[in-house]
Amino acid sequence: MAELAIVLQQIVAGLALGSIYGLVALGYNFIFNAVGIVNLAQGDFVMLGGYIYGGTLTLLLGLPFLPALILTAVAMAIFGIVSQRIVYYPLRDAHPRMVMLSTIALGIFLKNISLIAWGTYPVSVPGLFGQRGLRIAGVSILYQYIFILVCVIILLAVQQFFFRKTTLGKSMRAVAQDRLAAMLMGIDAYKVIAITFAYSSTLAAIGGVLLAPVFMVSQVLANVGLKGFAACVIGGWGDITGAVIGGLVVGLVEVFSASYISSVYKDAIVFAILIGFLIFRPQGILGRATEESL
Amino acid sequence: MALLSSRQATKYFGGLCAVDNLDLTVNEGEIFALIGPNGSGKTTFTNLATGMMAPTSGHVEFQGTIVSGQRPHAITQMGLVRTFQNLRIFSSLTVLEHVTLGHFCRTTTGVWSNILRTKQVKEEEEEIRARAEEVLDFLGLLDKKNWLAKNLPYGQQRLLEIARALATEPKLIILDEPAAGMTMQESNDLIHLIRSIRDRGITVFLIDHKMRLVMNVSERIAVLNFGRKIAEGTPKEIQENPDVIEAYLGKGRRTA
Amino acid sequence: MRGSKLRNVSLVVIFALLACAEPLIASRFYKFVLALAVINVIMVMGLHIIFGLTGQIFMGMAGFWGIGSYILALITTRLGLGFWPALLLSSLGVGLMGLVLGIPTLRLKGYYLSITTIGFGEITRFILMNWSPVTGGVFGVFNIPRPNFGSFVFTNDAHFYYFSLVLAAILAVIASILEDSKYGTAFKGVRDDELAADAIGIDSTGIKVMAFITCGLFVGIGAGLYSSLLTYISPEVFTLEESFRFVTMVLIGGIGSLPGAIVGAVLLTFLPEMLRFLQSWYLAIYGLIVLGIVIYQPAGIMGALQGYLDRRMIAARREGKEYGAS
Repeated sequence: MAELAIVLQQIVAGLALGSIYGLVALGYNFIFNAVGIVNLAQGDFVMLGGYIYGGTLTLLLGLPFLPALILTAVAMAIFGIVSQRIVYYPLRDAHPRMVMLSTIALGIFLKNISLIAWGTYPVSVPGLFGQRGLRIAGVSILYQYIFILVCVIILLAVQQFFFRKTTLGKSMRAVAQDRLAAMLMGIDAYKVIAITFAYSSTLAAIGGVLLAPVFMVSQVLANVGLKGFAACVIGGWGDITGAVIGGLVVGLVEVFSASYISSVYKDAIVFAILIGFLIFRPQGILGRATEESL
Repeated sequence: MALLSSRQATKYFGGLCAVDNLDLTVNEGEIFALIGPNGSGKTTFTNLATGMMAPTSGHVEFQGTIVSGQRPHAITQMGLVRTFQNLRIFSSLTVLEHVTLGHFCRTTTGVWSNILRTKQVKEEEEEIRARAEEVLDFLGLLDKKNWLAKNLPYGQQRLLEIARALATEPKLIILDEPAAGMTMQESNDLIHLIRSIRDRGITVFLIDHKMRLVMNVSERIAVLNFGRKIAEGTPKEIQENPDVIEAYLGKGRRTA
Repeated sequence: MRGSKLRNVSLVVIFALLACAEPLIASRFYKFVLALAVINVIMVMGLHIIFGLTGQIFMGMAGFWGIGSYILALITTRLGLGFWPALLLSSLGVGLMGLVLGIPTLRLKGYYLSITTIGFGEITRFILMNWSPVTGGVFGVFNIPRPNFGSFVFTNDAHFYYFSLVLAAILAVIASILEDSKYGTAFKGVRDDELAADAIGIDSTGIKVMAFITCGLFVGIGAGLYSSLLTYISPEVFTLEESFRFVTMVLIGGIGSLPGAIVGAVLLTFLPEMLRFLQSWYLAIYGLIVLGIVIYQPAGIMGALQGYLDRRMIAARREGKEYGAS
């Protein structure tokens, strides 16, 4: 019974982490679908979201969870628009290689400016539930993990509604499918692209907010970007469902390999699986990706 | 003798059928044209024949070997080369370098001998240069051989793409809308050019929708509409075919 | 001035300056940094081939560097082989890694390749850190020998510097010959448009693998020299930030320019040392500078120089009334 409970504990932890990776993966996918580039600073956006929420709004200003979450999301949405103006817009006609370099450079800037702004020590952010959890057969399943899962499910439902029912959501889908055709149909593609960046960085920010109580907030949080990338590949690029599934897979692999193989090698194992997918199944689990590879 | 033949080649994109059970035969030494309205599947067929996409079903043969599904460079090495509808010029290379790079797949010297600059390498380089200049001369680009290709006027960039393809020493060349963006004069010269390419012993597969060019130069024409072949024959037969007229001009025009 | 001529002149100038620089630097520390710069020059030439010429954003330089350093360190200290065979083996070993890493490029393009190489670099560092019985774990490897000719050993840093500089010059000549050969044109063709290269019968996958192997051979030599210069190595050096520093060297100098990459390597070896007083601001400013270069001067230093010379040439022609010549 206790063993079963431990497995359950790990599954919940894996799914919770994985759902955050899924959010980051969605962020990659929306931008990729809209403009055909990968924002390699996505992980740094998660970190920045974590710092704004944890370091400034919660610890410094003492705001409660909900206002802090909303303010972080708004701040990061604005930041998303500003950053697309800097790293994407001037290079929209250049080789995608240059955009990739500019997003890496942005990431380096963010990592180091956050060191200056919030210090070199990891910021410990109290969660809503502290270290309390659901006790099953002597094993504790943290409420924070369950909370993360609930939040992500709500977010995905809202997102689904937004893309199916609202004009803006439909425009975003149209731009993602065919930017040129969308422009011909009178959609202001550049506005939609800016909003797409805003939304992607909001997703990253929410990831940072939810993860802050689990890990401490530091530059290490930016590694979530690589996990999200792995999630994209494993789920299949450009695929919304795939991104979430890929995220969950990465989360579970990470948690289980940490406890059954080695916690030192857990990131290396995720990478190895990523590389395996890239080589043997580049279209991902769902395999719906088009032939035109990246 | 059949050089290129397509056997029930079919390509689906999701639920959309871009090429539908297409049977085509191009004979050695002819100028063959594939025409059809925009989006009728012409370029998709080119992609199938040159290995840029794999067919959903059916296949394309070149000299009796199945080429569809093979890797593009291997197909080119077999003697089937293409140009692109949307120009694909190497932005940092000169005109001459474009053509010598076309010859690359016919050269034999290895990396080590190139680093040691053996006599063999120097001879090969001389030969490549001579051949490249001959091809450039043939297309009237020789005086601009040291230009960066991206600085050429549009029409000449199209010619350069043809030069680069000819440098691979093909048996068959697929020209994908070579006249797109060309001036009237350039387009007229193209007719001569296509004939003289054929006179070099290279079979020409022309894809276009400019009727004047196609009707003037080709010996046999196949017409695609919605991925399906709706007619095949000599230019005269095609011009008189009611299905073709309908596909091109629509019903209204025919009754008017 | 045509590209390859500008390159050759620049190379001669750069190497002459590097040769004169050593006696002019008084501080022992900066003499050491200068030697490091030349080692980085050797390694960046490898990256120039895969990234500058072939256009593949290779983010695993730290992995190559780490592997090469450890090969030389372990072979000399554990197996007792001499410096020369060890240097050869570290070059070949990293070249082999180039092949191993290059093979996945059969399927990978763009972002996939970059992320895979990030993964490669990180996995390498994990292994160096945790495979203690072989690598010595976090403690690293000590007592790595300096190069020797017979009984003459390069213990003196100045001797070591000139020795490395000569090797760098030889490798620069090889890199230039390769760039001017048909393979160099093929590298550039794959960089500019992979699909078009495939369409004219170039096996772009094979070309990329070849570029990867060549990169490995170069980096292996630089990495071996690095071990030998420091005589002590440990795994925490070989980080993703270092991989990106190498990419930035190529970028600052001008993607595709060999002298540019070399200038970039020298600059980015000295700058962090000279700007230490900025402390944590350094890396933030560094990120901004890279961003600025990508957006406003994507052709880098050598691109700016070429542009300046072109404008001067045009102006000179105007004055000489040579209108119409292009």
